Amino acid sequence: MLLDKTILELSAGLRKGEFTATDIIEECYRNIENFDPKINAFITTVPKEEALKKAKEADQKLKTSVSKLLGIPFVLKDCYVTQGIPTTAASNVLKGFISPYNATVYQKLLDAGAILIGKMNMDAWGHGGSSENTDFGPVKNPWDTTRVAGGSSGGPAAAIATRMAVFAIGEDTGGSIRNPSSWCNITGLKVTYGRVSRYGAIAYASSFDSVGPMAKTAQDCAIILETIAGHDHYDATSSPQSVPPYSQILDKSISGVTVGIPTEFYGDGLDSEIKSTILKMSQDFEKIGIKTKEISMPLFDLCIPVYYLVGPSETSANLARYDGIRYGNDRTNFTDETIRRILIGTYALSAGYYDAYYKKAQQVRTLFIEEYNKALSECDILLQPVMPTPPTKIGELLTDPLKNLLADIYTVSQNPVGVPSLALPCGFTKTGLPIGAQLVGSMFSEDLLLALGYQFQQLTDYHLAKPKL
Amino acid sequence: MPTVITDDIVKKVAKLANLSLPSDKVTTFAQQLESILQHFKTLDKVNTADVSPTSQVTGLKNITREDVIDTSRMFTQQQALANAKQSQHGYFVTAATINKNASR
Repeated sequence: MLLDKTILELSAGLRKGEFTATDIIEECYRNIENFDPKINAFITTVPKEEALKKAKEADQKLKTSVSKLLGIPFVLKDCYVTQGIPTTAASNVLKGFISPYNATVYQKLLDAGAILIGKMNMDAWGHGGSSENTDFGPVKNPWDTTRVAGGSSGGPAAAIATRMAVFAIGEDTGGSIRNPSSWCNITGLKVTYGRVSRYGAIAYASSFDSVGPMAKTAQDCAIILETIAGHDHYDATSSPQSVPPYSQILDKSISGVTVGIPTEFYGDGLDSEIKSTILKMSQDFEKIGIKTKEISMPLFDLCIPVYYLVGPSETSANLARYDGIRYGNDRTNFTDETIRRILIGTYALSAGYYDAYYKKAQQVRTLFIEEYNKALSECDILLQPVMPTPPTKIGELLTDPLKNLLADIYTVSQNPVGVPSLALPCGFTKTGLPIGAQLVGSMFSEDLLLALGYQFQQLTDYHLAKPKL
Repeated sequence: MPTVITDDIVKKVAKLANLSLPSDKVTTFAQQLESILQHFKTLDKVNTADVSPTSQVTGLKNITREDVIDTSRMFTQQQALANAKQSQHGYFVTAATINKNASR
């Protein structure tokens, strides 16, 4: 299958004339037709004729363009605005909305010649970790369709796992790229806050939101990141730091790098099979000269209250704009999960409670930044679990809102700090469900995380496994 | 942390957030918020007396750009109104915010 190939292999094959962009697009739509009815990953599918037209154009440009993404089909989480194509954020509040402009990340991919084929299902507004809080029906896990795909970028992850597109752009506010990547056995990168422009990304929590790639390999993520990263005048929080040629430096020697294992992340709440699988990664790390050592991050379990006070506070302000007057539909269309987050945030920001909740959480956020700084002075990369359990059964997390929040425990401490994290496949449960681990580094250390991810994937084949649907 | 989330608190917060909650859901939301906020009480044990709050992590300050018109990003009136449920004479139609019958 062409869609099993990496971006580099596809790009080379196109230029050697082994296949055409049209062939790749045809295969995507075949897979969509075969698999999407079983997993519900798409909200909007770009009409096949339009994608084929773009593929023909790409095929003609192959001789003159050096873009590795030319003719490569991709999907967007449905939280990026796209001119002329509906954008919903998986909420009925935005049903029918068609943006008059493009998100920067989308525009950059169009400029590189990549071909959009769909806008993907997710937890509405990013509110959730299972892609069940959606007005478009839950996304099912391609490894076991009685289970969730994870979230909030569940549609993108399930689509890559089933080879319905080559790569996806997700969005991560508290694990939304890493969680579904891990539960669907793909590779996903939560970038440093500010590394990629948020312009045109529908805001969940503005000081946490980060735009990043989801794909089959760390190498694919590197190629996508070097295309989408960089300063953008339209996002004042985007970083002026230069963008390294990530994909060119994946095989640099990282011998001598130390990976820290924060013991608090491996406590009672973590499934024992997931724990032993992740810790076994150190054997492969040793082969490339990487040592592991135990470290301590004692504040760890406070990440849930910090995240779930600051995130909802910011989202209550961001979602205040949706009044159904200029676009979209009225506020009675929010789901219960989104209403809970708006209520918590509004409460935490309201007179009399602000100091006790919002300000307190922002102060503990400062302590978290210090905690990560300290941890990353004792080692170069932190190895952490992504999810405490294998994918949950559909409906399991919906019945208990608190349990639903607690499932995010390993993925919500990084966003308040801003550090990058690469989630990658590292094994399977005895029952055949994917297990993911995350590599967390200092601000703007994507080059190091991707290099370790790439070199780990040269030694292992977990990332090559795909579901039998 | 002061937390007993009553139905009245939920109704007040919902009003602040411009949400109209169905009356049969108010108590459920109150109970759910109570259980979530109870969990957050763990923050109380952290001493933050001398800790300044963090609201953003970019380290960037005073980011500005030239205040020039970029015509490529301008919407026509038609584009701006295209997603509105109701428009009239080139304007958005909104619910009345002034009570016409009120005495002056």
